[in-house]
Amino acid sequence: MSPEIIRLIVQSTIDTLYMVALAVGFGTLVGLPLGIFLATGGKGELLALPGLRSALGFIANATRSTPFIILVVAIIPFTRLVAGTSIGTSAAVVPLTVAAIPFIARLIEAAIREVDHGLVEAARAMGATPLQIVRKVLIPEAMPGIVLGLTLAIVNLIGFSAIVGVVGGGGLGDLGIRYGYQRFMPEVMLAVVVVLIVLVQGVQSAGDLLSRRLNKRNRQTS
Amino acid sequence: MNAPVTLTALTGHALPADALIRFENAGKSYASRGEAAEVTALRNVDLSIRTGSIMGVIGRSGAGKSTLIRLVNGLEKPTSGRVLFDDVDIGTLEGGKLRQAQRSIGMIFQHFNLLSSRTAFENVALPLEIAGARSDEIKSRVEALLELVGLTDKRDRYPAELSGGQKQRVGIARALATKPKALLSDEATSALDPETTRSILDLLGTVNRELGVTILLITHEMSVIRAIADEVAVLDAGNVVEHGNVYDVFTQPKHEVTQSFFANDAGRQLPAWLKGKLTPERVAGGQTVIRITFRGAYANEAVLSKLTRDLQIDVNIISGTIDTISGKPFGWVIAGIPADADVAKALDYLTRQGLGAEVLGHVA
Repeated sequence: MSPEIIRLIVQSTIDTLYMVALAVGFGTLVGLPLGIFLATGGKGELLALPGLRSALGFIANATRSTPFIILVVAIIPFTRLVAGTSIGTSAAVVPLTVAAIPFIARLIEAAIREVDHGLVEAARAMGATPLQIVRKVLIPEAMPGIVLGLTLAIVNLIGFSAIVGVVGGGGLGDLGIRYGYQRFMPEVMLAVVVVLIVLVQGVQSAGDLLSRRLNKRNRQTS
Repeated sequence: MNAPVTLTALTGHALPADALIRFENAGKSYASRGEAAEVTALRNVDLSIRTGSIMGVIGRSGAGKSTLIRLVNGLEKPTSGRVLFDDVDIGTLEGGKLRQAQRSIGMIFQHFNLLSSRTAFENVALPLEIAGARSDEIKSRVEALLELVGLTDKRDRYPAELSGGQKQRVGIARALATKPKALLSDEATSALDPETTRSILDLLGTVNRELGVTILLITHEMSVIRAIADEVAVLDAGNVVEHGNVYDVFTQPKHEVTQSFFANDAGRQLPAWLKGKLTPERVAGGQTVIRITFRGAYANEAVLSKLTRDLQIDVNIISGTIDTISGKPFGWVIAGIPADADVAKALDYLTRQGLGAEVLGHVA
């Protein structure tokens, strides 16, 4: 492989990491509170705003059921509004984030719902406010699950990021298609796939390790 | 903390008869999904729990025990009547006022409900953090509490590293963190083995005596009530069917549900092998089966040997229990006396000794 190609692979890896990191960052910023609300906003639950919860749940489902490639194209006006342009790696962060929010929200909702209801009851009996229950009970107790969910989100977004090449998004997927496929350079394709495998493995292992560290539930009785 | 130790020590549990917790005709029903009819969990409950006392509520699962205890700290609101805590109608409190009241009521649970992500120390600190205590206050208070429950050396352990009994001790320390006037115990020993149960009940007794904390506990085990409670209420299908001090209810259970809780105690019921053989008519050459009930001081007398000596009636003990409740002796003996003996005279003799005596039947 020529130094030029290696430089391209390095640059594409950086682009991918940049897009995924920003999308996961912004996605979590919105997805975490949204997920907590989805988990606690139902009838008779902690935050009990069932109407709002249904509406947000519907929006989350609608976003998630739209194929990503369609989403990318459909929200171009919104992307232009936010990023100032609809083309390029930075602009690609917008559709990635939009896709990441409901995905992360649902994963966090699932993690929060895993928390034993008895803990919420105990906290209520102590006179905790709903916000205190979220902050001091639900989030810390759900943390191992939240970390695993975010790991899954990162892995998925690495996959999604390959598609944003259609709006000039750059990154490893784009490189693989343009050089590996269109210019018929199978070694580039192979290199891209290897880098992706290493990335995904690394993210997954790190996520698993962190989640295990945070999980105090299965410690041995000493 | 709330009541001076000496006062409790001097007067036993007979503190002034002011009730810390009062159910006034309290009821709770739930709208049931898909059905027109409501499900009634509790009906017209009238119950007073004296300041400084221990009240045990017993019932089978589904009897409404959990609902009853949750009405006290406002986790649920009564749909009729009211529940007063410290003369405040808990059901009408909302928001900050309710949370303020909840801080003066501690609660412990069957499954402990400790945060797995927090150490023993941090779990006990939680209610104090919620109440907005300063961190130096939290530290000294939590350390004192861990010492009280005997877990100073486990302060940095996570719940998963503790045994069931230790977890419940953390639960008790946590429940006492905000210096509550009352402690609610929701089947707190039901997940524990008998020995651990004993030690947890001892701890609750200490908390009651030394800190003056009023305790309301619910359980399905009479042994728990008997080990610790001053008064007992029996709950069945949402109704309080029997209520009184533990000694009276244990020695003279009136309601059949109450009696059924004692079904396995020797002497209360006929042994299974005897049940089928009993006939209402006297059997020549057989035996008459009588039940003798011992209560109070009379349980200490050598009545049966006196019966033999004074009336020359041989007594064959079939089954029995002689025990102590609330420091007072009581017991039952099911015994056989020869069918040709003067049964009426024997019963009369026993009654004059202050015992309960009744004929259960005859057997060959």
